[in-house]
Amino acid sequence: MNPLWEIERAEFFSSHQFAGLRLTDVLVEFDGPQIGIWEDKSKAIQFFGVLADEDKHASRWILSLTDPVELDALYLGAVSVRDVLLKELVLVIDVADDLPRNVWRSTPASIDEAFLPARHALLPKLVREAKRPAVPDAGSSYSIRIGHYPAGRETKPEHMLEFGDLSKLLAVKQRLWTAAGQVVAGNKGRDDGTVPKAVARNTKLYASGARDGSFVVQVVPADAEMFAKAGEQISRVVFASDDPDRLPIVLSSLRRRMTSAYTAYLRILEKGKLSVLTRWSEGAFYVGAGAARRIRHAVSDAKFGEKDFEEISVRGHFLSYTMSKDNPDKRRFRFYDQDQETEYEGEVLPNTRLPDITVGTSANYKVTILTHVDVNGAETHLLEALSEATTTDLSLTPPPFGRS
Amino acid sequence: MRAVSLGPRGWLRAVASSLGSMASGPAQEVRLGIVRTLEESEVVSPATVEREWPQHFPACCPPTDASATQGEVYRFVANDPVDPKDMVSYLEEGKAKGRDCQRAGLSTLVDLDHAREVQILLPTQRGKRIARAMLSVEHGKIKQTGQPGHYTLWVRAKYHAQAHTLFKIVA
Repeated sequence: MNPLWEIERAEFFSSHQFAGLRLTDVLVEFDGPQIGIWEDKSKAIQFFGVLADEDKHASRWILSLTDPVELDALYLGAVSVRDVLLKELVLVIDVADDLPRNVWRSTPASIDEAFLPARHALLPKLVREAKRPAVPDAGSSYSIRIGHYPAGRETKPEHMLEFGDLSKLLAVKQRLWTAAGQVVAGNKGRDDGTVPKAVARNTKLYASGARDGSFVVQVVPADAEMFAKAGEQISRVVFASDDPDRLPIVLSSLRRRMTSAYTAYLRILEKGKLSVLTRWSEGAFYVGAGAARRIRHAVSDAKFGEKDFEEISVRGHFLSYTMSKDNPDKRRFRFYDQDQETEYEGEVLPNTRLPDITVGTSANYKVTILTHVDVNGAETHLLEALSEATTTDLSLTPPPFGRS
Repeated sequence: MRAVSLGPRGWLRAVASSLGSMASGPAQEVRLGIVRTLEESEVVSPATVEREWPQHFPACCPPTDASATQGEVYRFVANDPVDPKDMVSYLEEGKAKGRDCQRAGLSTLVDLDHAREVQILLPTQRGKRIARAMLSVEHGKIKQTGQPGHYTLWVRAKYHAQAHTLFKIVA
């Protein structure tokens, strides 16, 4: 039996505040509960807990807030036990006679590796199979389940999901899928980095409805096989995200567009405090709001230096193009990427010679933009080059399901 | 304590009586004597009956729906070779509350791959070894309890003190 480890750099709480905390669902046990779900007296707040240490007097648990979306992701094997446990803040609780005795607020960094589950370890397969959430309806096995903390309990603005965040989330989700689809297409993609029409068409996502009782968007992929393959690519990155050795290798195998889209995705989750479980018939991946910031920094460290820019080629039209009266070389632009339905706003790279530019949908261009996302999520876009796009360069995606 | 010999009606009365005082030691002894008397149709003195299950087991333990042990089980152990300290139940250690019968048994897993999956998750078990026992019906009873893959093993009294010798390190 180990003596319990010394708690350092942690804020002590009165156990009175947690008197109602109870272990309500044991997920793994061995000579007593080892991993489980804890709930407060109101059953409104759930904690995910792992037994970290014990002696003859007490059991020491590490707990972190969780929610039903994250638990479904855990049961689907879309997130590791460690990732569910290690949020920005964790509780360390000594339990004796099934009651919380001492409670500290701590951080993952202050907990020794010996008291944590191994990296990447999923809930055991037998447990996952028993807990696996059912696919809701036949024929609708593709879904995006959105969790928002703190959600649903009160109708205060901070407890609800802003339409703006929802809109950005779904837009960046499409961008991520298209980028992953281009990775799947591999050498079949164009040399200039633009999204091939077939990829843009086949990675389109459509919402077929929202399920009752939870925030789940039912998705109809344009091409189910492409959806699954692109999902696998994204899963690769997600599962590598907490591994500083593996992440650069995985990222180096991907196109920069995908890294950029993944970074944008993480930023939306972080800003909106969103957790998203994406599921299809053969797989799932999940990124929680708590992990998004940590992963984004890891991606940034792995891929970008301070002055590294990603070069992307996009097609579409200018929304605006302005020139400073004082300095003609200081030019700003807004460009609409029709393939990914995304706007880029920024400056023209100094000393770049450009032809006269027509603003509006009547003139289509193919442009090269350098983009950089810093660790704080600020995006910088520099227009590097452009050419007028011909009709064949334009992606003419047919409307879905015969809609005109 | 006097020997008992009961017909069917007497047996029912005695069971009803013993159920009312199951918590005490002597009542368990009487009940054990009654069961043996009924099964073997002979007069038996409870004082001479060898206890089937260890003394620290609560009444009605193992549960009636537990199966006879037959096959291999795995357990995380701290010592190589396996030591009696590796075979101490949760109840004997006096940990936690509730589910006394389950706490009186030993946690085991019946699949080595599952055992490995579980071990890397659990900080309290990660430094331990995995030991395997090949059990036959005489060794005790077993029942799946808690999450899938987890089984509680109740070793009969005659094997309890030497239960560690049934296990050999495999990983």
